[in-house]
Amino acid sequence: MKEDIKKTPKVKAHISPVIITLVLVFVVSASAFLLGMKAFSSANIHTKTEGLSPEGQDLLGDALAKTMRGLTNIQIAGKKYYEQYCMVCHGEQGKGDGFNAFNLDPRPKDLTVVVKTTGNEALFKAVSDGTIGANGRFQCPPWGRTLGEDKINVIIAYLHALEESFSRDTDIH
Amino acid sequence: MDKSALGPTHYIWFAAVGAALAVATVALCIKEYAREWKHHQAIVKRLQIKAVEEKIKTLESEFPSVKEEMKAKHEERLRMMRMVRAQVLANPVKIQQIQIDSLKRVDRCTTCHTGIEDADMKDQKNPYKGHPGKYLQWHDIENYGCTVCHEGQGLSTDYRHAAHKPLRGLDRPWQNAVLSRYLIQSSCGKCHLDKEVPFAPLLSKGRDVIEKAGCSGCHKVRLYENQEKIGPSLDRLGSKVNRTWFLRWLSNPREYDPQEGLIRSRMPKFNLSKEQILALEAFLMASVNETALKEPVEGGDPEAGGLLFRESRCVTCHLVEGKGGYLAPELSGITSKVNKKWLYNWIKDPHYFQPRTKMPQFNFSEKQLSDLVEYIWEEFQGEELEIPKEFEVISSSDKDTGEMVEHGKKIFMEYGCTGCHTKTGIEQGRIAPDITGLASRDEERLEWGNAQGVDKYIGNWVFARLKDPDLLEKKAKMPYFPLTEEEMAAATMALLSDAGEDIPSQYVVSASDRENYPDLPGEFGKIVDKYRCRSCHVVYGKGGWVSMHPLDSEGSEVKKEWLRGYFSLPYSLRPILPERMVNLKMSDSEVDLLVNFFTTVMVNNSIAGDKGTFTEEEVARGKRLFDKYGCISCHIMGKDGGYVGPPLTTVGDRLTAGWMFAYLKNPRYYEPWSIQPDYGFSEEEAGALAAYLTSCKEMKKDIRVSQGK
Repeated sequence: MKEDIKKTPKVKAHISPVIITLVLVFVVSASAFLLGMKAFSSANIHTKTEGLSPEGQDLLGDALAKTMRGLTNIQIAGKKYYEQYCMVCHGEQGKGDGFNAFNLDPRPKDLTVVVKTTGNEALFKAVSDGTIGANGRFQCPPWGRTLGEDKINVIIAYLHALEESFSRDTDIH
Repeated sequence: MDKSALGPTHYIWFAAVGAALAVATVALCIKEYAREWKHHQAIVKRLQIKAVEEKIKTLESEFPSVKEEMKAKHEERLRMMRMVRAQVLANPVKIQQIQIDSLKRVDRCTTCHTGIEDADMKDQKNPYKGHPGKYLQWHDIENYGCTVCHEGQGLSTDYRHAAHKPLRGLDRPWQNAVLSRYLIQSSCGKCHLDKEVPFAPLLSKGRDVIEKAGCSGCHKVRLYENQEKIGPSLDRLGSKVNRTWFLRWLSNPREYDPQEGLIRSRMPKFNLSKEQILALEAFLMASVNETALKEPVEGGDPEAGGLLFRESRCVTCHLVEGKGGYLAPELSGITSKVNKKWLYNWIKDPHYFQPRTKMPQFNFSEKQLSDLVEYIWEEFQGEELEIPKEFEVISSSDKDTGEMVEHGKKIFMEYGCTGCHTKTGIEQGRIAPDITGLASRDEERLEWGNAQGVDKYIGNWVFARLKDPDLLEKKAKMPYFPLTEEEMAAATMALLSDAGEDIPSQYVVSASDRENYPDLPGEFGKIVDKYRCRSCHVVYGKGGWVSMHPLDSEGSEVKKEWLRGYFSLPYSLRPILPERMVNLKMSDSEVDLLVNFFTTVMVNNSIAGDKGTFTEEEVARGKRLFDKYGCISCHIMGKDGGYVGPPLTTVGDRLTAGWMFAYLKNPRYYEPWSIQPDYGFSEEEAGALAAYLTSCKEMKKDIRVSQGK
């Protein structure tokens, strides 16, 4: 009789603990797998770089940055070849006002303008094969065999930075 | 209660510890597993696949519009792109390692920088970026790795421990940080031992500065162990200089020659007290030799002397009021430095007083000598120098001369003056520390003195020593060198190229050793020594401080009569150059010998020389080619032309046709420093041009070149 009085306990959906464990293990493994496959990597990984900046004044670095006027290594190499081969006609700042420019008709091009309006392939071709004027004569000589591909490429890299390097404020902030 | 039975608290502790252990294990596993390099590799892979897919897409879209004959090639490219994509997809995520046994390095940099060899990735940010420039093509990554150039810890696979940013402190995990920006040029110097290193101009400049400043006089510097001393001998100084001038010179050399940068007077400024200067002066001025000096002949004509001065082109080597060459001292104000008797004797016989001097022995007659001395004495009148006030007080010291001289000698040896100057009776080795292996010095163990606010990097230490020796060490023995900031930075970088590493010989790039060339023998050698041809020219591998023109093929290059005329009266060959050959006033027999030697010995068999005739058609064709190629842009021909190369109006009198032919076909082989472009002339074109140019003589009487002698 006592069983009748006793309320029948609610029948819970009794999930076996084994099932729960297995489900948990599955979820954990799946997420670990996906994490390992870096499915969630974004391109903005914040690499921990705090606390690593140099303490104190970097004398050498500052001196180099100032005297190199913000040019990269490749541009500095290009500058050296520019000064040796191109500067005499095109001028130190590329404006077409070099030492020899006034003997030439037409005047050498202002390279700071040319580099903005001409693509790199066309520039390379102009330097490598030379340019021919309206009267059928060579203007800029063909430098391809003299300089070679690598040197012409670094000179072109320098031309892109030429104007900026002369107008740049050389104070270190 | 039974004590041995475990109560509920024990169970709880047991569970808690077990759970903590489990959590810790899982956490550690996750930490070990979730490395940052895996992120980077995944991203690089994604970017690479994106780039390849874009290429495939463009190829596929182009396909219908491709011409028939190109279809096969197009198919091929498409297939290759698809293979590349499959390959990239199949790449496992793992640690990438490059092991270079010969350099004893293991580099894992490509674990994060996986895209470094990929040309498509050049526009990305680091660490996904492809390597700029062609450097990886010249130094393939399998044989060089990364850290031999970039430094840093190659074995590490995370940002911090790879020393991308410098790590400081005595217990730092790695000493050499990854070199920033310009400093990488110093790494080029590890293997490239020449002075001129292509694509590393800062390093080349730095090595030039080290050579000119004479660092190897006091320090042992790699590559400069055998360099000659850069200063003059100090024998007979008492007969040479004025005492007041000398006191001022020792206190501050820049006062006499206040030019910026190294190419002028190179004596640095020492930290000497007034007593030390006086003692040194007593010691050095005690060296007197009046018997060797002859009395000058009086009554010279300054105007004739002035003419001679300009004719002899003394400014090729000497400075006059800041303008001129940089090989020899400033001449304006010379009267306050030396006395007239010394000047006369010096110009008469420089090699007796300074055996290693670069000055040639001019063949002046007695009259010419006295004219010249009179002109110099009048023209370059220096102001009356006063003894600086500080010295006046101490001048009247009660030390007797003998003691002062002894004291001076001690100071002379203490400061290592023999590093630059020779002095008979004093032999000394290098007094300053060895600076080989500079890049691997431990910064924490260096003496930083007053420079505590400076970042502790070896480059900063060296730079500070150059820029302001007092900053690091009060009353330092190292003097202050008159360099511009750029020169100091470049020299620091060149010094840092020595990390004390033993580079295997297959990596080293160095021109053959031309240092110990013997003195030239015979009569030719005597003339070369007398006139010091090697001060300006490279003669058999040695010398060449002014002229870049190689003389080895000179006999085949120029015409004999022209050469004879040139030795007798040199003139300016290229208007753009301020330097030209000095007029040495050689005797006829000497000129004969030189001309014969050049045309017999210094010839090049591959050049045809003065043989051959040319037809009128060839000459006309040459003239047309001369117009077409725009030679007049750089060379003067007739009335107009450019100033870059030598004038060609009368070049037929100067150069041989054979040499012109050979030069036009391959300029850099015969004249390494010229900027004559290589036009790729055919044999006919070069021959026609040579024909035309040979016809360009002073008197255009004959367009046919006569048979050689």
